[in-house]
Amino acid sequence: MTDLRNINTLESLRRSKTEFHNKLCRASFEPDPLLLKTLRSENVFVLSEFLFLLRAFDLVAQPTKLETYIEAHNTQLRDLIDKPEKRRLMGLEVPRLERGLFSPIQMHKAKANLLSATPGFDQADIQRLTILLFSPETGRRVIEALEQAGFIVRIETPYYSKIIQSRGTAEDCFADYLDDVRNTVGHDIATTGVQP
Amino acid sequence: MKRYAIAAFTALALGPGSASAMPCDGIDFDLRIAVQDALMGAEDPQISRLAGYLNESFYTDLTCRLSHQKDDAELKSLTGDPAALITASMDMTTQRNQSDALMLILMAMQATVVEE
Repeated sequence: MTDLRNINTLESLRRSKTEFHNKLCRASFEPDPLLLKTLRSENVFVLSEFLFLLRAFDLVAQPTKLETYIEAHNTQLRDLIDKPEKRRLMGLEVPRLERGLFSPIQMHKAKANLLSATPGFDQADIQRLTILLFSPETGRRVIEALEQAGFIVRIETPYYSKIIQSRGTAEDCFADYLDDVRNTVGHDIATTGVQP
Repeated sequence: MKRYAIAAFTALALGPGSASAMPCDGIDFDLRIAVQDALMGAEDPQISRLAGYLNESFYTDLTCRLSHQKDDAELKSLTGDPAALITASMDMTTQRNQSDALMLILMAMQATVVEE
C-alpha cells in the first residue's frame, strides 16, 4: 500500500512537471522546435523557479529587500569559497563563485535598477545571483530562450547593460505547477484511502 | 586536480553521451579535428595516451557539447590548451544536482522576510 501511495505521488509529480513544460510551450510566442525543446529543459525549469521566488519574495520591487538578499547571497558564496569540501560536493570552483560575488557598487546599481525608468534586473546581476545554478554562459542562453519565447524582455541601456523585465509567464506557470502538485498529491492520497 | 580531471575525462568517454539531445547535425569538422589534436598532442602523457584510445564518437560528442557551451574565442583558447580542454570537459560530464543550490537561494531569499 505504501508503494502504491509512493507511485501515485511520483506520478503526480511527474505529471505536474510535464504539464509545466507543456504550458510554457503553449505560451511561447514562437513555435520553433529547437526553442520548444529548450523550454522543456531542466535549466528552464530551474530558472523559472528562481524567477518565481524573486517575485514571491517581492524582490523585484523593493530595493531594501534586494539588498538583504544580495548580502545573504554574498555570504553564501564566501562560505563556499572558504569551504573546499562543501564546494566540491556542489561541483563548484572558486573562480566561478568569485564571478557571482557582488561588489558594493554592483549592489548599489542593482538596487537603482529597480527604481529606474525601466525597472528590472541587469542581466549580469541575474547571472551573478544564479551562479550556483548555471555558469554565466549557460545563464545567458536560458535567458535568451525565455526572451525568444516572449516571457521576458531585455532592454539595452546606454551603459551597455541589459535590463531584464519579466512578463510573468514563467512565474505563473511555476505557481500553477506548485498548485498542481499540492492538489494532485493530496487527491491521490485521498483516493487511495491511505492516511499520511 | 589531475586525478579528478582524468576520472571525469574517462567518465565522459565511457558514460552515456547527451549529444544526441543536442542539434549536432552541422558539427564543425575542423573544430572536431582541433579538439582531437589538442588532446592527443597533450604534453601530459596520461592525457595523450588516454586520448589515443578514444573513438570518433567521443570527439564528436565533446565537440558538439563544446560548440553549444562556448563562443568562438573560448573555443580557440581551449583548443590551444589541452589542460583547459580537460577542465572544460569536466564541467560537462555530469549534470549537477541543482536542488542544493536552489535550497541555498531559497534560504538567502528567506533572509529578506521580516518577522512581525
